[in-house]
Amino acid sequence: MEFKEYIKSTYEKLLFDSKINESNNMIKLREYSYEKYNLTGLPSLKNEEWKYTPINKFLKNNYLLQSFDKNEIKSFDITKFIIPNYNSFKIVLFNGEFLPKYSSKIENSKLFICDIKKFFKKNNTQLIDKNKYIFDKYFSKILTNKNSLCLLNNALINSGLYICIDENYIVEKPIEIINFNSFVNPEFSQTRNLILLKKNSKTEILERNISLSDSVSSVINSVSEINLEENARINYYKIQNDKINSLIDSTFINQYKSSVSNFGTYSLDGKLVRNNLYFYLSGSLAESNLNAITLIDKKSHVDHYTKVNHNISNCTSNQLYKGIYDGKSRGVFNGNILVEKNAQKTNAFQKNNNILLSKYAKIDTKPQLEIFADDVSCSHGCTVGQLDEKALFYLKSRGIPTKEAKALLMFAFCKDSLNTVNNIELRKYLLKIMSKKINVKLDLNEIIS
Amino acid sequence: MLNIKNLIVKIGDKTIINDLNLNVKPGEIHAIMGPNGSGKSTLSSVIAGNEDYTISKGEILFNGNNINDLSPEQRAHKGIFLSFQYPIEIPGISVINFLKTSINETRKANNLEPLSSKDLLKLIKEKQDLLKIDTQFLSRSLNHGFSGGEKKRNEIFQMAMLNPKLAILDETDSGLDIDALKIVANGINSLTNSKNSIILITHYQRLLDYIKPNYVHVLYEGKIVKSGDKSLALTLEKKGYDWINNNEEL
Ligand SMILES: Nc1ncnc2c1ncn2[C@@H]1O[C@H](COP(=O)(O)OP(=O)(O)O)[C@@H](O)[C@H]1O
Ligand SMILES: [Mg+2]
Repeated sequence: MEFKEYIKSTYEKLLFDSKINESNNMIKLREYSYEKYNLTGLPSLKNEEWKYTPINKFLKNNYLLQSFDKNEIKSFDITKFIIPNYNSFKIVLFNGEFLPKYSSKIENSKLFICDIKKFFKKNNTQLIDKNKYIFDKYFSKILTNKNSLCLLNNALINSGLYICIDENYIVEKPIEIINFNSFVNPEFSQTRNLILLKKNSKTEILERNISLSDSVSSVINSVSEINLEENARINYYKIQNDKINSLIDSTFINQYKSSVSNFGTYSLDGKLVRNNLYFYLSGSLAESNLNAITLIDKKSHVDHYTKVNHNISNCTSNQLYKGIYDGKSRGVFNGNILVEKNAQKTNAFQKNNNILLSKYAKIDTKPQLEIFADDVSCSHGCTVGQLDEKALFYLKSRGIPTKEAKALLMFAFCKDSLNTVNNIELRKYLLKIMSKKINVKLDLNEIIS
Repeated sequence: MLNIKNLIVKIGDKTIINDLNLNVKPGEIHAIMGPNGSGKSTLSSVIAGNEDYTISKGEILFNGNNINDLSPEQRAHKGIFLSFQYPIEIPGISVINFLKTSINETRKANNLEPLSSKDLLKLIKEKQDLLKIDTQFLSRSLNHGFSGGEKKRNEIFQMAMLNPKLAILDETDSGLDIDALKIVANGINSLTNSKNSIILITHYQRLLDYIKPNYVHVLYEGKIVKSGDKSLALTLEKKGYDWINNNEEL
């Protein structure tokens, strides 16, 4: 069967179930989204935003769409995957399915986390009205219809998380979302998160994808919507080092007045990783900081697409994307800033710096600024280079071996981006996995101090 | 200590070091002087193992062993140190972290345990005092935004920390004001003993007022054209280098 047919038959099966179990809103959303999706299908290379990433190639027709009966989850040992000294609320998902049994118990009325599917159900009385109201208000409201993968996600979602943080509440520990992937057959899975930070609340979220299988490679199409009410603050980190699976992540962030978001995307492995980050600055004095480090080799392909929409005056955005590419790896940075006509006094900055360690590695970088306001401060810049040979000789002449000397220069190159990770234990962990990736043992405490 | 025999070094087709011989014994200080472009920095780089240059003939012996094929780090581990004419600025690596990595990698290569933080700090304190280096200097990025003088002082600070057998100081005196020159010269003097050697590369005899060389060599077009004692430096200062071209005797 062709991939298209797979999608169709999966959708039909899902819709059949949906019509029995799910709310009218949900049925409508699936129908509408599927039809819209069908008009374009998956993005091709002709699509400017997908010019360098042949998604069709990765999604050959051997991928199944969801096998609806989730395979029985065998007990597994999560302690192996814990980040040392990173004291967090652990939210464990297995192939996108929330597993309370393995997750931290959260007995706190101000922090509400549950399986997103609960909201899809018809007449679900288990839910507190308050959350149902929030869900209806925010779910699927900030997606762009131009992204057909998001439409497909709308049509086919069947797993994910809902997180809501109450007004004035500062979550005492980071929320760590660990997504274990272990598919029996190669799948094209669709997960979906909705996160709301109410007024003056604050949290840190870390998202990790870990594959338990080392042979079956799947494609995960994950969509998240995050809303920050007035004065809310979020530090959101994504560690992408799943060797086996491919990831298409689309995250939409809507920010109201004086809210602050710090996003860190750390892409260290993966056959294909595509990150779409869409920011909507909708309240004045909002601030968005986007940081990323890409450190890949072999045939990994990491594509960063960002779009920061300055819709209102006096907001600030900062993008700092660092990339180091070895082997035959391939990177893409397509960074977009849009400043609307009435978004005066906007500060919007973007920087993309890259190092190619091998002559077979490649980076395509494409900054795009569209500015319709006149009183703004905007800048962008990108560089592509190699490690500085003179600096390497200098370090080596002081007894530092080539591999370690290169590593020091790489960490120095990433330092400003690494230092934006506020949580020191997380920063150490990132350095540890980066060191492991480039196979060096260095005193990490020294590097980050 | 260092014995260079009939060394020819090329970049592309261009010969930069042309049949050079030099023998430096333990405890000796050799000064090398010569006009700009005569090959002083190239010679220094080649001794330190810079792979940009190819040795097309001759050999470099260090303590009797041919080191032609050793990497820069291997040479450093054996005790060769180069103070750069133009130290490289490396933003993002602090002086202290760099020193620690450098010392411990060198110790590791010599089968020594890494220095404990306590011993390292003690050593740093001692050398810091010697070269009058501020503590806040240690947390700055390596050479980044340093003044010319700070860079040179940092080079000698590293030399003091690493305690090399052979130190090649490539124009360490240029860019230093007289006070800084005294501090640096004093530092260098306190590091010399009967077991280690120094090659001083300089334009000016001024440094030699403070550091007394056993030998002075004149390098010209990649060749040592004259050697002598300290008084040769004074003569060079007076007469310049034109006499070489005119085939005159000094
Ligand atoms: N990397 C290089 N590429 C090409 N020519 C070089 C290089 N390094 C040095 N040279 C040339 O070699 C000669 C000697 O240079 P150098 O060793 O820097 O002299 P000095 O230190 O005595 O001033 C000069 O003519 C210089 O242009
Ligand atoms: Mg020179």
